[in-house]
Amino acid sequence: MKVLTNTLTEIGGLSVFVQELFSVAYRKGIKQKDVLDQLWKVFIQSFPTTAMAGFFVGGILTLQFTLQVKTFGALGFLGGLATSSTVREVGPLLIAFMLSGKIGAFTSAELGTMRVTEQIDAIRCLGADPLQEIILPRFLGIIFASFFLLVGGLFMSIFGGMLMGVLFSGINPEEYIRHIPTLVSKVSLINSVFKCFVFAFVLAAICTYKGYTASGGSKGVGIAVVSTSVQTMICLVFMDWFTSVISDAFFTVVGS
Amino acid sequence: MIEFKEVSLNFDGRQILDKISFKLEEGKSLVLVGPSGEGKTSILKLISGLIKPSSGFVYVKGKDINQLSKQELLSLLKNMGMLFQKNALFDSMKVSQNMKFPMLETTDFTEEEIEKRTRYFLKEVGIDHAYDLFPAEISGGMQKRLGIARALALDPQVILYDDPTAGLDPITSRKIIDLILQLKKERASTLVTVTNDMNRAYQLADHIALVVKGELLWLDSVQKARTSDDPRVFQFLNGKTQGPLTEKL
Repeated sequence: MKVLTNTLTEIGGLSVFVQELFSVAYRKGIKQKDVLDQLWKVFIQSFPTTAMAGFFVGGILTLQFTLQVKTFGALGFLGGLATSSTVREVGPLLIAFMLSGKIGAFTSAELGTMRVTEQIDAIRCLGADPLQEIILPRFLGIIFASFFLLVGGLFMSIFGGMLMGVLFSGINPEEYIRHIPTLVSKVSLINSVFKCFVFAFVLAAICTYKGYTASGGSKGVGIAVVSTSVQTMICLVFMDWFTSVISDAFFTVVGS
Repeated sequence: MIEFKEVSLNFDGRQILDKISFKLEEGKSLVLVGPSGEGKTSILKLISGLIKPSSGFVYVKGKDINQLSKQELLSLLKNMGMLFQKNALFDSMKVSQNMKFPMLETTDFTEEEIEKRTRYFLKEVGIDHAYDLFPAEISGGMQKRLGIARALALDPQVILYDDPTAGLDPITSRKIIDLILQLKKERASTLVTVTNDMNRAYQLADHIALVVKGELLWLDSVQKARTSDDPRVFQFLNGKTQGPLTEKL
């Protein structure tokens, strides 16, 4: 019962927080320069990690599928099969997990420290709104940066898969790419991009919320960082399932 | 200028303040003294609207601070400066950027004006040489001075100082208090200061109040505080270990 109450309290708090951010953005506007600064900072800091993660996710899946497709004499479908599973499911989720550890933990620690050292209170006491000054730019910056990182990571996963296929599975690049359009439909691509956006939103909302509401000194910052990681991962898995259900329903209706 | 009416404050079932009332007139200086953890800082946070009372009313410039919209509160806060106990400086910004922040965010000053005011205030508190340094690169006394300068950047009518001399050596403490008094004289501002340094309290106060066990004992003038026959006041001001304030220990 307590777990349920805590979960509902957290969801309620997060919803109010996000609603307040949208309200601040609507009433006071967005500081575009600050958003771009954050976007660039987050993107540059995380691109190497994301690219590496994407590269190996694609590569590993290609190697895993090699044995199966060879058994059926269907090596030509290796690229399509590996890319399909990477783009539809594994890629966005694994890369988002990695981003939650990097961007999520960093942001909640940064904001949590600002909270417990009263820097956020100081902003308010100086007549400025901390939501507009420091939270909104980070929130939007992380959404856009994470989205681009996730999409970039997916491209890297395709490249990683192809390279591993060429090096270890005895397939040439042209063969690898040939059946990608056959097995990766437009619907899969749209679904994947939609997932990337949802994951980016979840990540940005949770880490800014947990950092902003941290309390209780350095221990409180630690708790905020840990709960950011845990809650983000749980939410990502849940949203992965949810977006899949929604997309399937949507494209079934549109398709019919 | 500042008025508390029957203000109570509870945190996690613990009563911090119990129906306290006082009125501070414009241009006057109130010093809050009392044992640690008894609610002095909470009074400053109530005045600045950072926390809301569990019951009662807090008026600043005749306005009930808890009835104001978020926007009205932010406007009111532009007329209020606060020095935090641990300074709350923006550690990712240089000294100059800490100073410029409130002016950039809440005024229509031109860049030239902001630069001029930044240099003026830093010179006023004697840390103009630290213009390009980060807060972590300057001493505790200089951080305090920067906190004061930042609190004054918008020419506030009300200034709240939370332990302005904590952790400072006696000479630096004295200098900080002289600075606060000089600035008060120049700007005719209203001050509320929290401190437990009694010498500095006597130096700063038009009025002194003792905050103890949720109560606020208004001691009016320094002279009255010194001659008070309340045993709690006597024990605190004279630093006695035995008495009503330590009965439960």
